[in-house]
Amino acid sequence: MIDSIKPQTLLGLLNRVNAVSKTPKTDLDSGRVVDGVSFGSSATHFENYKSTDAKNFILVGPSGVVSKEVVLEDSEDYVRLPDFLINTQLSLFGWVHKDLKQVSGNRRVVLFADALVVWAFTLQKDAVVVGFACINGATHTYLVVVENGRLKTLEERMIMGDASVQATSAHRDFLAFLDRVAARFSKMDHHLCGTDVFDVSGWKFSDVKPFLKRRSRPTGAATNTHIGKLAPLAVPLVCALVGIAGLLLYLYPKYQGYEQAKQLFLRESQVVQGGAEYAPSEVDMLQNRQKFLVEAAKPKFKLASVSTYVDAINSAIPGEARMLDLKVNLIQTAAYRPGEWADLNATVMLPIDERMQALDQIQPVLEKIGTRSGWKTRVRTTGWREEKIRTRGLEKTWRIFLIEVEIPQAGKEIK
Amino acid sequence: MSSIYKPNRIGVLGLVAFSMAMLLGAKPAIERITYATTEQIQQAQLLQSFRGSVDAISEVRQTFDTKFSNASEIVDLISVRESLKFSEFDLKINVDTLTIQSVDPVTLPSGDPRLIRICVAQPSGGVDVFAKSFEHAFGSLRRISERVDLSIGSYIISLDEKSGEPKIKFMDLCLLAKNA
Repeated sequence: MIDSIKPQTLLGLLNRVNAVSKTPKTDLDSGRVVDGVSFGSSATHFENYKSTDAKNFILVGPSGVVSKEVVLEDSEDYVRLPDFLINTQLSLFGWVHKDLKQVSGNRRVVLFADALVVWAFTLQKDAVVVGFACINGATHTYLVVVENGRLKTLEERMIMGDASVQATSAHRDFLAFLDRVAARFSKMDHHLCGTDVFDVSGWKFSDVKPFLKRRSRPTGAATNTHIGKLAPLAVPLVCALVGIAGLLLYLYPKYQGYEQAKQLFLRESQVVQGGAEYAPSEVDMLQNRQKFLVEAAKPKFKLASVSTYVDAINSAIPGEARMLDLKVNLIQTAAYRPGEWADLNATVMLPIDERMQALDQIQPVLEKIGTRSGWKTRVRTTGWREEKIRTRGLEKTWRIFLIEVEIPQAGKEIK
Repeated sequence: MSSIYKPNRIGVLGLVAFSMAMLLGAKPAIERITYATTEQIQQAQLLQSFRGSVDAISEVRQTFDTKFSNASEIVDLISVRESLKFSEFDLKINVDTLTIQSVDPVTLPSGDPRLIRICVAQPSGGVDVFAKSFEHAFGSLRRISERVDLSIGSYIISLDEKSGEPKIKFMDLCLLAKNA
């Protein structure tokens, strides 16, 4: 026993393994591990353990039904492995391997691992270790190859009960290999569960190389088919296909957008090219005509204001009174645009009937004119005269007032 | 369960090379198709915009068709009088004394609107038209002022000494007609 070391971690375990491996001794002929490190999850190993007098014997194992049965957990020599390491063999193996390199440097150490057991053992420079573990009655076999002090390969097979029942071609290869191991080590029974641990440290890597070359996936069946041969390409193939599919998915909407724009352009182009109204000269002409219409829509003269004024006069004068004459120099007014008003005196001759003969009678009318015209401007008379004028076949005497109107300045446009 | 693969390296390398080639080729392809799409969309929009603009001003064509006479149809003074359309405003005009003063194209700083200007006058100077009343004369004037196919320099409203009818004398009266 190594009393001074009480590892509770894998690292501690490895330290203990290294400490033990300095003087490895095995008695494989007797089928018992005399000295070194053994493992066990089965009662058989426990029996082996109990039957040996080896001092430097470390029992390594996880929690398990079998382990509990043998009540090893209470032993200070028992190192319990974390469950997360146990449950993932590959990660466990990779992790242990990495950790081994850190701890033991270039020491030739082989870990024998599975879901339930970690077995550490020292080996020669080139070595092969074959191990068996018992998991719920099934025999797991493992092959670990050390080449130049480094872990090289790991092979695992699970044989349920009678190996011959499960003897696929891959299994047969493996079993044949085990037979060769058995031929060298007479004490071997790989059909039993977890009974044998063999150190084949005398072996060289070349001894197992032919088998390793034919190594295939544990399921075995598909490996001999053409599809099976493509299996290693599956991951990169899928990645490539996914990448291409992603690229196509990315490009397709863009291509669709291009096609839609192209079709739209073609349709518009056909319409434009087919229509005479879209000819450049025609478009220019239309634009010029549009500008002309804009200019032509502007008032030609101040007709609105003049007529409004006249309307105001007519509505302000009672009876038969009507405006007779209005002379406005439109050339002058045409120079102004709406809202641009200049002082312009217009003279209106207004006939007045008998009822409005007095000059003062016209004043209210003038006020109405000024108001109703909307200009709110000044309206005045400068005098009057009488004339006989024939309208509608009747000759009549009219008193005509001369009215002057001051047209407002800009901003007083009549609506 | 552990298993050891020995992948077909040539195949893997081929796939990797193919994938790399795809990725390397994808970038310029994406750039090209993006550029082409953008350009195509812009061109289509430009064309649409052009067509929309032309369609929008197509009303101008209709306006000219309805409001302007064809220059090719104005061949004599009768057709000038009909084109003046003063009769529609109940204004009388003595076409026997009407003469054509000038015919010249209308020009704008921006270009040619394909219009010709036909200016008419009477021996008395200007063009005299007669209305039934002053009220009617001013109403007609208001409507005439809205016509875009007439160009009027100035006018004078008075009572005709001979007939006693309200008279409007248009100075520099011109008829505008579309040329094609």
